[in-house]
Amino acid sequence: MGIDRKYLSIKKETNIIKKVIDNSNWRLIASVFLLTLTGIVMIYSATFFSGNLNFVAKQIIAFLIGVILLVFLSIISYQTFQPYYFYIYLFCIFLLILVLFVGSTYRNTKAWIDLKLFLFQPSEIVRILFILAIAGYMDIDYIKITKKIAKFFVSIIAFSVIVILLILENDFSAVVVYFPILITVFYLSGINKKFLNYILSFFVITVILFLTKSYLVLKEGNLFKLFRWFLLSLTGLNKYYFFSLGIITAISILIWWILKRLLFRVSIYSLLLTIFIIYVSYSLVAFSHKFIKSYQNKRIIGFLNPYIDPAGCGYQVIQTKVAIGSGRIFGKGIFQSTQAKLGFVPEKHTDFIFSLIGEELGFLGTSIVIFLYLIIILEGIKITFTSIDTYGSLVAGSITAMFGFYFFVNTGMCLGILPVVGLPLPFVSYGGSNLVASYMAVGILNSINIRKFLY
Amino acid sequence: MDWENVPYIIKNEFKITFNIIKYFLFSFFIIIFIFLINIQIFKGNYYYNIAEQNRLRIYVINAPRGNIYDRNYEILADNIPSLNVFYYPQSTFNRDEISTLLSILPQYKDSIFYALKSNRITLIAENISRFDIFRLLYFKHRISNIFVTVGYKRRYLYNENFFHLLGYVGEITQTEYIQYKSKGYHYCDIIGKSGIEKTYEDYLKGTNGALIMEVDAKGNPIKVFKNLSPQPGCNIYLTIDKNLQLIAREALKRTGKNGAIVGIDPRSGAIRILVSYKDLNPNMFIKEILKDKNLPMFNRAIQGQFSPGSTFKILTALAALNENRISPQTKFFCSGSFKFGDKIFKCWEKNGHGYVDLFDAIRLSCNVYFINLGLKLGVDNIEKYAKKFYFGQITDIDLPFEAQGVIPSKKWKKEKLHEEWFEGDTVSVSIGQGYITVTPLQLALFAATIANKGKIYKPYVVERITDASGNEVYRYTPILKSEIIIPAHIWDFIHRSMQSVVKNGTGYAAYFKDCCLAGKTGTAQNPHGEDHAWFICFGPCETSEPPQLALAILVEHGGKGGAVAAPIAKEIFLAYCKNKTNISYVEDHISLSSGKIKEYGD
Repeated sequence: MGIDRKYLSIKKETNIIKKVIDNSNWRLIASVFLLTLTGIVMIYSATFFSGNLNFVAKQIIAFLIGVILLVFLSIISYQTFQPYYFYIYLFCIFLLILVLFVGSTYRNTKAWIDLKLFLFQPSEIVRILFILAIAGYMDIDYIKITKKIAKFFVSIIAFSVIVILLILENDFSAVVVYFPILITVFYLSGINKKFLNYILSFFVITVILFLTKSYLVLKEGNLFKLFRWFLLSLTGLNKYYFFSLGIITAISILIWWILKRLLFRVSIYSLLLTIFIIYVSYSLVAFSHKFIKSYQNKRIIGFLNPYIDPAGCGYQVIQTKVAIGSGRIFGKGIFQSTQAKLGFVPEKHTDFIFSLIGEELGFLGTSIVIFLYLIIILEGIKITFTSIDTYGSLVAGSITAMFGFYFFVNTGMCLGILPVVGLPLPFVSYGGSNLVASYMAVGILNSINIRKFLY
Repeated sequence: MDWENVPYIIKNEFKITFNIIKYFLFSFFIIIFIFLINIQIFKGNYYYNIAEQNRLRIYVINAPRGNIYDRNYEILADNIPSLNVFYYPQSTFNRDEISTLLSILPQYKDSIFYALKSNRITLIAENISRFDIFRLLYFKHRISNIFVTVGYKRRYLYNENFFHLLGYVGEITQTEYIQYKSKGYHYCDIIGKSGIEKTYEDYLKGTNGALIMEVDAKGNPIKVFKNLSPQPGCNIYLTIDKNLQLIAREALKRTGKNGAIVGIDPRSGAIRILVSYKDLNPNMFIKEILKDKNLPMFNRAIQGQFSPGSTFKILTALAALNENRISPQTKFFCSGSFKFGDKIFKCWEKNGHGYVDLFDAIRLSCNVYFINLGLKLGVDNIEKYAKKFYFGQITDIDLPFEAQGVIPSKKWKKEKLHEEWFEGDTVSVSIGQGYITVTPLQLALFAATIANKGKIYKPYVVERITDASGNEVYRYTPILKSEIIIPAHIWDFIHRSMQSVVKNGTGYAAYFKDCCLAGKTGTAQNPHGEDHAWFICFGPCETSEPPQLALAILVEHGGKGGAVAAPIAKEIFLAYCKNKTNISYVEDHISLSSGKIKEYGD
């Protein structure tokens, strides 16, 4: 390339303010602000009943801090973080260990550090820092294919350390968000697709089997007897476990043989690997009941069929769904909610704020929220594509995936599509640390967007 | 590392990968959007209703049932306020709460466990004492799901005296609930179970009010959403004469036997007396009473089916006279028994009455004479006339569970017993024995019809109904069911002969000089024990106006009708004539001229 990079970089530094204003992704920022505004109004609506304005005040302060961080991160180049990925990762570990020692416990989870003025939740910030770290690590020697499998395992180890720390904090919902980040980063960083597909299918099979098991445990009949027996044996609920595994193995071999006959190029290794994956996930599921806590199992049961125990574990699922549905098209009007205000919907200002929006603002309100999120995701995808370097792409991609995941899990949980996982709706839900972290992520995205041109 | 140094093939792969992720994210949005449309638009109203049900709790305020009055506007049944304890299943009831509740209301142990088992809104205790209420309210914080409400309890002022007429009320049962659900009844509602309370349930019920409260998720009331005040039920005015009813029941009770008394005003069909003994006190309902062998729940006056005995002879006589089979002067010889085939039918007079004409046969109640009449008539004719007098059919009185009795015929016997009709059966029927059964009400109506000379008015109990503010919503007008065409001289003959029964015949026990009565005794043999004592009568006779009261008196296993049942009639008519002169009756649809009786006193 015939452009002098040094010259460019000098120019970049001189016109920084103008550049930030010109190249900022205003569409992204505007939708983020609108969502935050909606969130503040809804938090006010959810909490003014008790005469407590603390929630709104704290959210506004977090919002202001978030805006300052957004501006700051937009001005400084995201590229400055890349060389320090290892230190950033160490800082993550430090923060999480710090929580273990000085953290305070709320609702069974030791995830907050009491800073006197407010409670700071490091795991929210750690998530953003982890994105920067893992993207920075994966981006080194991007072209060298040979190194990639090694990098994959190293990142898995790095991730595992964080997972262990989070589990020690008892913060399971925070773990879940790392999966979309990792998957996105792995897929984008050019690791062997086949390899990744195997890993992913392992997870998918495990989850499906696990849900089937939970369903079978609580539901009698309702299925064909033979099929039910088969599923029971598959999930380790009766003693014919090996027999059903044999059947599955035979079916896999049969499918492989047919594919071979049809002149598909399927190697014997892929067959063996598939069977191996199925075996491993079966064994995991078969012994899963030893690791799953009762309240978690209840959540899963409540998600699978809330009407089994409508007064107990299915209560949240049913009531949030009722809240959203009762808003109908135009909603009951702001401050007019009954389901949320009278306490039928739990956590109405945090995790279940989407159902409050659904009830008070109706289909119009929820569609606007969805639309704003769609803008954020689309802009995130655009930034990923137009990034000037692979590091920016990896960071932007995983941040976008993170927001998408947050959105889908939270709304899906409110609509009863997904089990109840304690994930907030970013920008909208009450929670200072989450709001600040989300604004940091937007700041990084914006920073990538600002620097997408070479001049 | 910059993009520009990355080989094209890797860049392309990157692009493909990201496209997959892009569509993945996009499909999420579509799924969420579809679910939102489904839940908020298509199922919106459904969920809205659930949300409303969640937040609104309805406390029913029971409407007081209408009062019941007799014909002189004297209250027979009204309501008293009572404190009721309800079980509202909201959250699960833990063991401590149950034990606390049991310690406060130990006497309602059964209903508490029943309520817990049924798991729906249930009345636990009714009309509990002040002391219990204060204790319950004091421990309210320890017992969830329990509500104390002010309700109404039915009060019957004359206790058991009007039990079979008025009936009683009780909590709605499962089968009744299914039947009445469309009329807006709920669990725990009080519903009329028998008598007037049952037939006029729709009028008496009233409309329940409701207090609709907004509650939070824990069930704590937040504010009143709506307050609908209850509308009391309509008041019912009966044709019953309270004083006569009390006297009649007292007289019947004094015999120490079960029985029934029905009194009808022949001119309109209005029921003045309806007594069935054994009865019970509806204010204190005890379950054990259901096992009583005297069957206190059984309304003998309209449900009991008994052989009419000699009272039926009047019908045989009427039929024979009208069919011109005999003249009043026709005589038959009574030797004390009548041999028919290989069976011997005895007259109650062992030595026989000798040669008797019809007048004396009625007066002395000669069996042999009427056996001869019956044989002359044949069973078909007896059946024809019995049907005309509404025997064997329901009389359509406005009380529930009326029985219809049996009038045997050749066809009936073939269908029911698969046997041919014998002449011997005719012999039995002609003196009111055998297969024939009637209800006391039917016999009272029979007496009234004779008094009326063939006009049959539908018997009724409810004169008029007014709503709570006094507006009339219903008024009965007498319905002439049918008229039996029999020449007047036959009626006069029957009246005269029936008067002679009281004056110097078998019914002499009913005789008193102030009032001329016409009656007929009956002694019905039955396989269960001693004979049933019957007496039918009407009076006062020998006035220019038709008789004003017709009675049918039954004393179950009482013995001779003339000795047991007739004195009761005397007592009732004594009271009737006394009242008639002293008390000016409230205007009825028939203007009653008082003081007429005295002229015919003797």
